[in-house]
Order: sequence, then C-alpha cells, then structure tokens
Amino acid sequence: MSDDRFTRLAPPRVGPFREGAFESPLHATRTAAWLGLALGVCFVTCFVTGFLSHLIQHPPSWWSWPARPAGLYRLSQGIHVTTGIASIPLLLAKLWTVYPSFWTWPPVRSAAHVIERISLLPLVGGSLFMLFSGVASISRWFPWGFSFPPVHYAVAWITMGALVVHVGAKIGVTRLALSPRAPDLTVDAAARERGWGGLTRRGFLGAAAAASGALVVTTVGQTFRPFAALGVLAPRDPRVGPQGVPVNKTAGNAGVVEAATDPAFRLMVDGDVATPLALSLEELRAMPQRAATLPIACVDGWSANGRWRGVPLRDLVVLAGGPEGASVVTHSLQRAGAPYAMADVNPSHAADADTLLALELNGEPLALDHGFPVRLIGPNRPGVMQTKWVGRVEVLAP
Amino acid sequence: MTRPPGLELPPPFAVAEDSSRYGPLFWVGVGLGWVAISFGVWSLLAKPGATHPPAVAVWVAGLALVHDLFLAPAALLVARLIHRVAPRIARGLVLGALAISGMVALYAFPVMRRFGAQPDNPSFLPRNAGAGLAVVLALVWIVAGAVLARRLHARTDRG
Repeated sequence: MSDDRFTRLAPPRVGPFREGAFESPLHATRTAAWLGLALGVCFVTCFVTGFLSHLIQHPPSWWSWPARPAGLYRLSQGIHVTTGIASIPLLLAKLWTVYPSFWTWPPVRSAAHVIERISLLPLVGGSLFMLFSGVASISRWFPWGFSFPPVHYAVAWITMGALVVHVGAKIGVTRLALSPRAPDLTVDAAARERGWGGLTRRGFLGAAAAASGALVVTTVGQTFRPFAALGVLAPRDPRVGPQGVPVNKTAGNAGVVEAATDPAFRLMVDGDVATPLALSLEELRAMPQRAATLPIACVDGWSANGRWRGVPLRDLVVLAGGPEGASVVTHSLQRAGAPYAMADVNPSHAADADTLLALELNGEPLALDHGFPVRLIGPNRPGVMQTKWVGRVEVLAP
Repeated sequence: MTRPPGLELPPPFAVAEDSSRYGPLFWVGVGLGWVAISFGVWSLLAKPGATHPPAVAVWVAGLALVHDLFLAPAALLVARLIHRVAPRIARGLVLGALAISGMVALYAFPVMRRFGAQPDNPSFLPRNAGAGLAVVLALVWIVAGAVLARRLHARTDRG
C-alpha cells in the first residue's frame, strides 16, 4: 500500500530538461535518506553544542554554567567544530543526490508544496552558510562585513527551523526508503546500476564517508592530542605556541604591550568589597600560589593543556573583603569595548579553587601573548572568557 | 548521452504527489520550523549594527545560488565527462576519488591560502596546509590506484 508512493512518482521530466536528463542512479531516494539521516544527526549535534556555547557566553538569568567538569567545554566545542567539518562532504553529497528536485516540474503544485519549497531556501542557503562561515571563521578569514558570532547564531536558528519543516515533509518517504521493502533495493535497481557502470550508490556513500573521515582525521588533532601529529589541515597545533600553548590574540594585536609591561602596573580589586586593593606584580607573587593543569579551549575548536600557577581568584576576593557567593568581572588592559576585553565569572567559577589569576605557564612567567603580567584561567570556560592582561577584578555581591 | 540498451531509467528522484505527504506532521513541522526561522530572523534584525541583515541575506541566498547554478552543474559536467572518457573498470573509482579530493580541497581552501594569517602570531596556521592537502590527495589516489590494480589483476586471472 505505502509502496504506492514510489510507484506513483511524478514523471521523470525535470524542469526545462528533457526526460531522463538526470540519469545517474545516485539521484536515489534511499541514498538521499541515508545522507539526510547522517546530516540530521550532525546538524543537531552542532546546534546543541553551539547553543550551549552561546548560553555560556550570554547566560540568561535562569541559567548558570558550572565550573566542573573542567574539560566539558573543551569536549563540547571540539565536537561542535569537528562535527561541522565532518558535515561538509555529507551536505555536498546530499545536495548532489537531490539536485534534480531543484528543477522539479511544474515548479509548484499546491499551497503545501509552495511552503515546502520556500522553506528550502533557508535550509540550503542556511546550511551552506553555517558550514562556510564556520570554516572561514576558524581560519580567521572574514570576507563579510558583519560580526561572526551573532550571525552564526541567528542563521543557526533559521537553518534548524527550515530543517524541522524539511523533516516534517520527508519523514514518511525517508522511513519508507530505509525500510527493507524500498524499491531502490530491488533486483531491478541493482541491474540498472550495473548497466550504468559508474559510481555505485554504495560507492558514492563510501566516498562521502571517506571525505568526512579524512577531514576529521586531519583536523581533530587540534583538540584531541593523540591525533595532533595528523592534524595537517587543522588551523592549530596544540603543541605549537609560546610556552607550548597556541595563542589566539597577541598582545600587539590587542594593543596592550605598553600597559602590560609598565613597571607601575597594579592589579585593581574593587567593586563590592570592604577594602579595594591595588597589587603590584611583586605583591601578587608574594601571595600563596596554587598550580593547576587546565585547558585553554578556544571557541574555534582547538584546545591545549597548560600547567598554570598563580593566585586563586577567591583568595583575592576574600583579601579585599568581598562577600561570599560573589561573582566577578575581569577587565583586561585593552581599551574598554574591545571584543572580549572583559568576562563574567559566575559564582561557581569564582568560588572554584582552580580559578586562578595566573602568573606562570609551564614553569615560566606568562609570555606577553599569553596575558603577562596576569591572566584569568579557570576550569570549564571558553578561551574568550579567560581574560588576558587583567588590570581590574570587579567584585559583585550576589 | 545514449543509454546502454536495456537500461531503464533510474528511479526518478521526484517525489510522490500523494496527499499523505502533507499530513498533520508536515503542518506541525511548518508551524514549529517557522517559529524557529522567525526567531533567527528577529535575532538578526535585533542587532543590525553587528549583523548587517542585508549582507547576511546576500550571503545565504548567494551561497545557495552559487551551489545550485554553478557548483552542482560544474560537478555534473565533470562527472559526465569522466563517465564518457574513463574505461568502465576505472569509472567509479575515478569519480569517487575525484569527489573525495574536491570535498577535502574545498574545506582546505581558506587554510591553504592563509587568508587569516597574522604575522605576529606563528601559532596560527603553524603548518603548510598545501603540503598537507597534497599528502591527503596523494593517499586518496594511491588507494584508488591500488583498488584498480587489484580489479585489473582479478580480470586477468579470470582470463
């Protein structure tokens, strides 16, 4: 009964093309269904991890990101970027498979069909945009005039919304195409494929999977250390950088060289405190120090462990007479308003013993590009919220 | 292109015209989906200074058009050309290896061209991605060549 859906297919005339213009057996429902399924899993994974990263950086009042486990953000953002990269071949293969549908004739058949097709523009354009903008951004290539994070976030909603419409329209045909009764599986279809003599459907899916796998193997090493040596197409190597840790923004780029190397530097601790402090580097070094091995986990998907040593943030808050359960805002020496020049440290992070104002990395004073004289480093935080060149610690009562 | 005799048309991709396709589930999807799409559009419009909505619209629509009117037809033409010139025993392998090469190269393009390189930050793009891409592509074609050699060998064995 349900097989009627396949036998009553629209005639193979496709748009302005003659009958049978798209001859390849690769334009098959079952192939599209497999690719759609794989792509659906990847896109949902990207959306969930991306939304998480958005929440962490723009926490709504009802939500708070915990300081533990220390490596959770590193894992989730590594999955976000790697899954996005893995999706590239899957998306291109999927679009190739369904390409004749673009020329469906007549172009629209009913109101529902119009809605389905209109929703394909945000789906196809949005998917291509999400992957293109993501790859360009981790390559620090910004060939557009807008700010990447809010646009990547907004278009993610547009793409996922269009995906929901698409799933609603295709779930029936997908389920049927993946069932053992699917006509694509018949002896006829196999014979047709042999007669065609090109890439088989299985070979095509294999090629898409191989391309996806090759991209994962050659990029995941930027966050997954055992694969570091294989990361030949990754923008980062977690082993390469000053003191063995990569740098995202250099001191020169941030315009802080002079302020950060000024001997008159003082770290200000103020806000809701009993006694505001102004501490010199020597005074910070004289305080009890704590060491912790913590990752720098960049939103760009790379991460690297470092052995950090410095003053626990909570000790500074206590020293200044700040209240229990306080949150903190760290301000860098960068000009106010520069992107990521300040970061919110919520009470969970501010109270964690390993949230440090670090003075040392891997046994040496911080390199200038890692935030000398003092930087914030804490467990389970995106790199952009690990403020470098900290000049002011603002304590906020709960 | 002429079809080999006895070869029927492949299953057309066009989808059934049946009404069950646009059942309640479809309309639930339309409702939920367009709420999310509207939220995305609103997010864009809420911060026009940062998001430049017209530029975003041009990029989103532009990428779809570039794919549908340029990339896909170009891939189709290349595939058709190879289908015509490559011997039958190598056809699928060449097409598969070419597809993998193209997709990996597409990803590698901005890393290879070093658009974002910063002179004062050697920790960004520490490797020569062009060389990396060459190695990956060489592996792909070596594997394809090995499979072809085995096929040819098997055919000779069968006499």
